[in-house]
Amino acid sequence: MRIGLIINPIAGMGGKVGLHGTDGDLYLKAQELGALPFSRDRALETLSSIIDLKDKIVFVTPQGVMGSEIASTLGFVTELLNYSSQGVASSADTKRAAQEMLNSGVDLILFSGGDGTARDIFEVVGDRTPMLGIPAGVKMRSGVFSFSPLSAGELLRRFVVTPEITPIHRVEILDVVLDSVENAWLPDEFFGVALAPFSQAYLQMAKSVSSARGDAGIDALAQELASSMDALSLYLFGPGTTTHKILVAMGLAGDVRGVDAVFGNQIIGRDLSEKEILELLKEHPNAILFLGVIGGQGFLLGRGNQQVSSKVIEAVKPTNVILISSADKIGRLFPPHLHVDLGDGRMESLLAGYHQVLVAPGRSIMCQIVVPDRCQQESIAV
Amino acid sequence: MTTIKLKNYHAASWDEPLVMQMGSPGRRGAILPSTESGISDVVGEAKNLVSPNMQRQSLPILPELSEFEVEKHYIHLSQQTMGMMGVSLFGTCTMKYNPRVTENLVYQPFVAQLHPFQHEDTLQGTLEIVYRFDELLRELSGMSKFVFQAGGGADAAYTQACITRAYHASRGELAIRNEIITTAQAHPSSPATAAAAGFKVITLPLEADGYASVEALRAAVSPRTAALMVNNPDDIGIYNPHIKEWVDIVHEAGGLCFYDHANFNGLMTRIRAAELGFDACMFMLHKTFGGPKGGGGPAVGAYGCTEALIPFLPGPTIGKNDAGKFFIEKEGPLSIGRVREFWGNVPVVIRAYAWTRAMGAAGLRDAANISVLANNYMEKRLLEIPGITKGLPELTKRRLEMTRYSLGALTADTGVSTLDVQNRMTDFGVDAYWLSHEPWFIPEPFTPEAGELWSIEDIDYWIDVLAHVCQEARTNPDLVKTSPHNQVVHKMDGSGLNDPKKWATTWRAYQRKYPASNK
Repeated sequence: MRIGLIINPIAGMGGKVGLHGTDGDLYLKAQELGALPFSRDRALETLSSIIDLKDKIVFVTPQGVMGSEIASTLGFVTELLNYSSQGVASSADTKRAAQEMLNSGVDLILFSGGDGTARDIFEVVGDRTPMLGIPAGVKMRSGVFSFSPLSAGELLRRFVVTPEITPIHRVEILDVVLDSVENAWLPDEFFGVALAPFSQAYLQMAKSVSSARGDAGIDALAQELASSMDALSLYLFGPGTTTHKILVAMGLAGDVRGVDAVFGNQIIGRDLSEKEILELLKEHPNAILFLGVIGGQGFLLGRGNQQVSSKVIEAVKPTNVILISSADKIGRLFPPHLHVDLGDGRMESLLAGYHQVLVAPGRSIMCQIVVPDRCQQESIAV
Repeated sequence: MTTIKLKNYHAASWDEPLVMQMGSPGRRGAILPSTESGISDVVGEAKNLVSPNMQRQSLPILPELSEFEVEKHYIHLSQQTMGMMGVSLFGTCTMKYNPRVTENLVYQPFVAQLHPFQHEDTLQGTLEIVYRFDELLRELSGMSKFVFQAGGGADAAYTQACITRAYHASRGELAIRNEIITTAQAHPSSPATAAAAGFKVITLPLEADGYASVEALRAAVSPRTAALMVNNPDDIGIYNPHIKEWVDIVHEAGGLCFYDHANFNGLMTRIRAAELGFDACMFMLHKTFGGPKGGGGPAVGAYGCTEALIPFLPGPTIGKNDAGKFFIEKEGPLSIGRVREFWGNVPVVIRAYAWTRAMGAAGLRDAANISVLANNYMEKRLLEIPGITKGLPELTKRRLEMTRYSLGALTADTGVSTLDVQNRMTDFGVDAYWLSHEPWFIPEPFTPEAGELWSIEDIDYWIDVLAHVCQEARTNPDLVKTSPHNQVVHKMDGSGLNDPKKWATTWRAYQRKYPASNK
């Protein structure tokens, strides 16, 4: 198999010195603070664990620190991309390597880095090539990362040796952007849906059912909701794969990344902006909004769906918002809290409290929307 | 740390074909003499005693073997299972020994040969045992009547779901009351049976205290609430001290409250469901009360309820008249009917009665105390093993007699999963442990339960094996990942488990799906 290999040699350096990434100028700052590279060591750990697969893998990789150095040291067959990075590897280098891999065709891109690296690769390859991340960054919120370098090796082994029982899942690419001037967190952004091999090592027998067939509860719920829609109401669908399933069940092609609108069983708007949504709501005051939950974090609003603003919620009315999620996703949230970040304390406190999240036909889980105490937060900021 | 020597165990591996593939045409277990003419002259040929349209047109396809061959084969098969004769701290199942004296008793003709259609005058002793056991369980729960018809815990939960339906229907409220509330770590048969009986299910999640919150319950109840179905403690093992308030909230909303006592072992003689306000409860005679687990049956889910729900009980039930005579009573007009045949699995009731009488009230309390002590002893040793954490370690409240643990840290370090560890432990004569109900929200879970049966030597051995395997995971992970090595078969490819095309649960299916293996 041809496996693309990209090592972001500067990834993760910020973590130990108290920075939240090595994007942009932060790298220099990290160096100043004495950060040491560790992405290379993480990749080395992964590759060492699959050294017995030498005759099954060709690593397609940039020359030098971004890949070939480690792969060749361990004795893997490599196919060099006809370019290598100049000095410090940058975001542009990662993207260029991904582009070349896409052009020459690889079965999977293995990379060592964080959310920023994942995003760079994803921007080039989208869902055309599966990705697998060795966790070596500061932030790893995206679904392409394994739990450890060794589990990345284990997953790659399954992908190479038993591809027929290693399902490829759709996972979310997220990144938290740091404002380097203010050194303040900007909201998580949802960049899109990538492909990644699913960890059978993690949940072998129990989960291979749902992995092979998807979440049967959500599929059935999507069918039920699709068949219960009337032609005279406006339906809005928040971003994400869960809400998108309802559209698919209705036989409609929406845009999984953004907010879509359905009226009269037809799509009347794709990937809408806040302004466009509000205009639609003026015409159709009785609308229903379907929202999914971001797995692992429990965000409902304010992460990757900023267009669903507090004004939009106000216009839809909180009681017309229907929350849906797989039971599994809710089961993994502990404590089972949902979050909203609308920059509007009044609306946030209106939404605070327990809500039913539908997980299958006739099945729901009560989850609490927890709103940070803004006064307290502001006083800390001061 | 380890002072106990691990056993040099190896399972028997007879490598025999299926019984259908053994033997030889014409070989028989017993050859019976032909009918004497004096008899056949009177009654005719034996085969003519069966009506012609019920007679077989062709002989059944059966293996042809001698009696010795059959016995040998089945003994070999039993040797190839661990047969519940190792150390099995199989959590959520409360493993108990089934005393041979009781086993002998229920094999006697006065139990084994009874028929439920016998005249009740000839069943007085058995009826008395069933009635007295009902009385014992009333004492333990505060309920007013028990029935033993349900064939297991889930069947008893289904009995509750059906009674909920009948109760609200009798009050004309069933059309509105269509929601049953349960909790995330309750026995999974609660949501399943509620859904099977046609209710919508609202699940309350586990929260920071180790159980669902009162606020979540308040948000979930409404005029649509039909019932609450809970365990306490559930599989996290922490007793919910607000349970009385829960019952009040649901009663105020007009719903019924059902206490699933699947996790009763640590609580025996400590609480009574009726005193906490519950309308009904369920005990598993095959878990808590010393009855055998039969691989999914025969078992008994003893279902008990307060006076108000008695009219809805499945029938027939057993009563006692003023003269002290026991009688079988047909179900009344409001009854849900049958959930299983007759008055239940009587041999299991007799075993449970014998066990409970032998234990006595003081014995039950001792058993509860010992199981809580054993679990906490086990916890201390387990948490000393690197790579093992308690499920939700941030919950500091004491776990009663069972909780979930996680091998997530070991897996992150070594790539060895809980399934690998489970397999490897069987190499030392330890039964595969219970992982977790779904969904797994604790990574790489396992759920051991050290009930009162197990000696300190057994518990220490089990922990020593686990510690040894965790050590192997660090020094030789491939050994653990490729295990078992000392078992009947080696590691199986589990990928076909969810593919019906690969299942062959009958000989016919095997012939159809695996034609090449048959000749």
